[in-house]
Amino acid sequence: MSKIGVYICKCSGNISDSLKFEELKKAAEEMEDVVVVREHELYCGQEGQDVITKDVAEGIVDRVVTVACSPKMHDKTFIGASKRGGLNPYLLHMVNIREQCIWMTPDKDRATEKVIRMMKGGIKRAKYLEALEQKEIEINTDVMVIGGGIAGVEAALELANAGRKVYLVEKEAAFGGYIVKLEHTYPSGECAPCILAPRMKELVENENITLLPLTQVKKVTGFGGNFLVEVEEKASFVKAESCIGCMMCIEECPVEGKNAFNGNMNNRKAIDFLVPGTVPKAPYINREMCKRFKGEECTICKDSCDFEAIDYGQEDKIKEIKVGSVIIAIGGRIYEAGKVFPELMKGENNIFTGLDMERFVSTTGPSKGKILLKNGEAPKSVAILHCVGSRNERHLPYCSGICCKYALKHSEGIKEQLPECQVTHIYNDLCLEGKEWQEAVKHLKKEGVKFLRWELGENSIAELNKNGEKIAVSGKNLKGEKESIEVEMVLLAVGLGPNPDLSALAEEFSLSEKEGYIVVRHEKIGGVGTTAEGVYLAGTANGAKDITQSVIEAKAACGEILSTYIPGQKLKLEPAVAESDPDLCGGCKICIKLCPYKAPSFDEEKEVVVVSDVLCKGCGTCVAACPTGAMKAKNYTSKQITSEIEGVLQ
Amino acid sequence: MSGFEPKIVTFLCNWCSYEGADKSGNAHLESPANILPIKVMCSGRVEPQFVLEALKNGADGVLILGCHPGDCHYKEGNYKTLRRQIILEQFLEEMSINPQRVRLDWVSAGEGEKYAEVTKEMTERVKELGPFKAYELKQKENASV
Amino acid sequence: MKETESQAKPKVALYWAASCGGCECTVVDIGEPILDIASKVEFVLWPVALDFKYHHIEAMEDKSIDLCLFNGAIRSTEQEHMAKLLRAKSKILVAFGSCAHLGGIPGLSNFSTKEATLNTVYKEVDTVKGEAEKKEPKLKKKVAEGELNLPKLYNRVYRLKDIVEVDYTVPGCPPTSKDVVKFLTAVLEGNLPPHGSIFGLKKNLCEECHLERKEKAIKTFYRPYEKRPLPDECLLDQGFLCMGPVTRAGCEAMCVKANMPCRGCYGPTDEIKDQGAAYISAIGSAIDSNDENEIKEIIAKIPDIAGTVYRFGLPSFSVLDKAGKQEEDNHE
Repeated sequence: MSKIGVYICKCSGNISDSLKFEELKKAAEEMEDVVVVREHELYCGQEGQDVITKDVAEGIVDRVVTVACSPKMHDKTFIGASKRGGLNPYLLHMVNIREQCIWMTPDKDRATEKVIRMMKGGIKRAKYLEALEQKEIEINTDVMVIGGGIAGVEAALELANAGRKVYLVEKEAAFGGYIVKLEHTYPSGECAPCILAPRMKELVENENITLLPLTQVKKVTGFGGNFLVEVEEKASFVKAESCIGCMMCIEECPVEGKNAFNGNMNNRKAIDFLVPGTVPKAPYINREMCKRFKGEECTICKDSCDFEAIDYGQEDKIKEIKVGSVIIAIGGRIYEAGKVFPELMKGENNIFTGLDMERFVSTTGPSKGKILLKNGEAPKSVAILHCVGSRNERHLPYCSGICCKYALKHSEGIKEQLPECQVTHIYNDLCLEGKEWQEAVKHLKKEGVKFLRWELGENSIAELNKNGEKIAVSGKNLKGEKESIEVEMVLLAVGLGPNPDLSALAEEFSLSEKEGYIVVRHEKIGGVGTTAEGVYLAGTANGAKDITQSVIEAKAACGEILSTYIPGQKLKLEPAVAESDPDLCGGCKICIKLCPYKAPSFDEEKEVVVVSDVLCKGCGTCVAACPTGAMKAKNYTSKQITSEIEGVLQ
Repeated sequence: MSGFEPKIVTFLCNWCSYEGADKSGNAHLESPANILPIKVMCSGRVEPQFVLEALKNGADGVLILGCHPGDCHYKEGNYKTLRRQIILEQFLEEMSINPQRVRLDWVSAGEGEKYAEVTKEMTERVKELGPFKAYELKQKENASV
Repeated sequence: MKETESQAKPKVALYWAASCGGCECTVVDIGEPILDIASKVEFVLWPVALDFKYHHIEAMEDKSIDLCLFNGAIRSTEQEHMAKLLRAKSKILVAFGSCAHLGGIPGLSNFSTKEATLNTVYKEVDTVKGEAEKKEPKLKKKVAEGELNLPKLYNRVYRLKDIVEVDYTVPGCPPTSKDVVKFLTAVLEGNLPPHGSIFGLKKNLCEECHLERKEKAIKTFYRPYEKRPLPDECLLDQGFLCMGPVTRAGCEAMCVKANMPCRGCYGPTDEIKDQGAAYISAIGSAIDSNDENEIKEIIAKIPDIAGTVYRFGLPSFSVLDKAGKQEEDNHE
């Protein structure tokens, strides 16, 4: 037997003027289990609220039904009023007769009829409402940042400075990601290593940060607030704390090979730095090159080291790390130009990508900062092709938003070093927002840089053919006419695609994928969140973007983490979730694949489905599909809903 | 059929269509009083049993409004509703119930106008179909035999 | 119900309404134990086996029959009469078998009409020659000895509980002999479950099924003749329309053990009101596609959804027929 109190608000005439108000009260009084029916000018005001609070406190009612405005308007108000009297918030039901009836129904009679129906539905539903308790769980406030590029580094520093313990995991031997390959940023012309260097220093010195290079995430269990992450830390065979960076081992090493990091444009030794100027400040042994991994007992580097920094006995380790939240910042992948021009990219041709160009102009690059053809001379003509591998169903179907920008950057760089060089941009659209970029284009045009606008073509914006030492670049302009130019060097502005490592991480963290990227929590207002609590995304890992945007996302992810996982506070769980009755569940497993949050799981021992009240968001999809009625949606039970259906049709 | 005002039980999802309905009301857009709204958290909660309960208890039509595909607050709840809707329509026809009486559509939180439109269309449609009667399709069949 | 001190044996009646006889067979199939049970009870009505007449029952005192196992659906005035009679004369009236419980196979007649049914049987049937012979039987005929009557058929098939109050239900088409023994033993020992219960397990058939179930993602449906099922794998996983998930357990999954998908004859579990609606919700949700056209194609593979999900329970589909007899059938 429940004691339902019905509180009909007049809303200062807003409601009462548009209805036959007395009929309403009468209809409510005739309903079963209704013990009191009241009316008030304004229930949301303090006086009105106090009426409700009093009825509850005095035990006159144990269910509150408001017949008034939308819960979207005043749910907190009425929950508060009821709570103050001691009522569990889930024993309150709000019938929205203002927004969803009065304001849409000008006819007074029809409005009255509809309001009465809605009210009856609400009253019948209220009878079956159940009190729900909000649970809290302990949480871990440590954070793991996966990926040591600029986004990951910024995130790690931000979190560490806020007092959180951070584990910065990076697959390569050194931190910095793509940004260490850049010389300048554009259009400000700021030195990229200068952005990075102070950060690197802080990474090493900040006590809250644990650096884990040569490390990858293998397995994840748990949920937001309580993750257990298993990582594999590969051996570098060099003790960073003993190494002083004298580079004797590198000099002595007998194995030399192509340096993939520098786009194979120069060589490196088997033991070497990944890239100068970053952390850790110690070289590492590249297993693919080193003789020891080919069966030979070579000890040259160890013998050359006066500081006993080299340790062949180092082993790959599995570490288990407990954290509360994770930021995935593993970066994207520059689209392989070889997929667009397979034959030409194989040979020793003067066709380069944007990254190659970065290495050219870098003082630590293969040509010590000089832009050179393969024959060692400076080019007299360069064609820069936009949209290579982009906006094309065969390659990347979208625009990366950064390539036109770096194309202009390189254009500027070439003209600066080689003022006489004829630079021609071949583009289809220029993706350049903001005033500075328009200024950049104007400036380049003034310097004699040409801009040709062509069709995108089936494979690419242009066809490339070798013509002796030169390269013929041909395509169609927007009028459909064939055009062609001959140049000494071609620069390909390729786009940024997804990282193949993202799939494995998505699997481990139970994230949904779409076209190579992770589905975010909300397209507009949840761009750094995911469907899994405690798992965030930042940087090019989840879409092509520039440095500015990557860092903004990193900081946004930090913001969410800092405001959600607070030391000393517990995490509140959603009470209105699904629950499976083990006495009714036969284990058909129909529910399991229906949940994007992986909340229902099969208990192999008990042979029933169990719903995690931490992961469940309360949508009720599994409940609707359950063939035995074992699954129950708290606060939206079948009994409650069918009662409301009966009520509105009474 | 003049004078007949159908009763249409309407399921609204908390994050999209319920907000859309509120928006419609806030803008004072007129929509039929035939619509009897019931809130659920997600259109994915709506099961065929609810549709049948509604018809059994006197509804002439049932309208289910969820988030647009791809926008579901709970990621894919609305897709499950879509799957069920398709099999439900086939089932209703075989059970001699006109499947036109049950409609699934998408209304986002900002679509106050669409809410008004969809509810008007549905009401018109059910008005034309007339009051729900058991074996309505079979009666039509037998009438022509 | 215990044997009384006066050693009068409990009186037991078995009656068949619109049924096939399978429920009688299942009682006989108990085998030897039936001799033991038979020695403990006194049969007062069992049309298939013993020669008691209706007037014997009419002459008995109310509630003098201790247990009546009533199988078969109700579709005629005679069946209704017997249901009401046996209700009055019985202490415990049991809806025995799918027909009495849910309407059963005879219930499928509700897809058609009485007129169409009689027309097919008597007028349009190929095996009756001669126009003169193609006529519907009359319900009354005067003969020298008096007036002969036939029971009138109703427009719909009803369940036992649509006509009278039912104390217990033993589900199944037929209930397994094992379950019959269990039930009779419970009655004889006075060990019955709560009044109104349906005898059987609380969980669905998956509980008793030996096949390995995976997380459901159905890409297409198969009819049993279309492919040989792989052993040890859940039939629904393989695309067969197994009603196991929406069906009460208790039969030990006999059909599945014989490689046939469950047809749902034990009816739904306690929490589910409508077995058919629950099934379409479950398999609809489990279809592995979000594309409207693809979903339509997958569902088109089920030739007769309604017949499949209401094979035994069409008269329980409450949207069309409110509980109890329809107005049109209330003239008698």
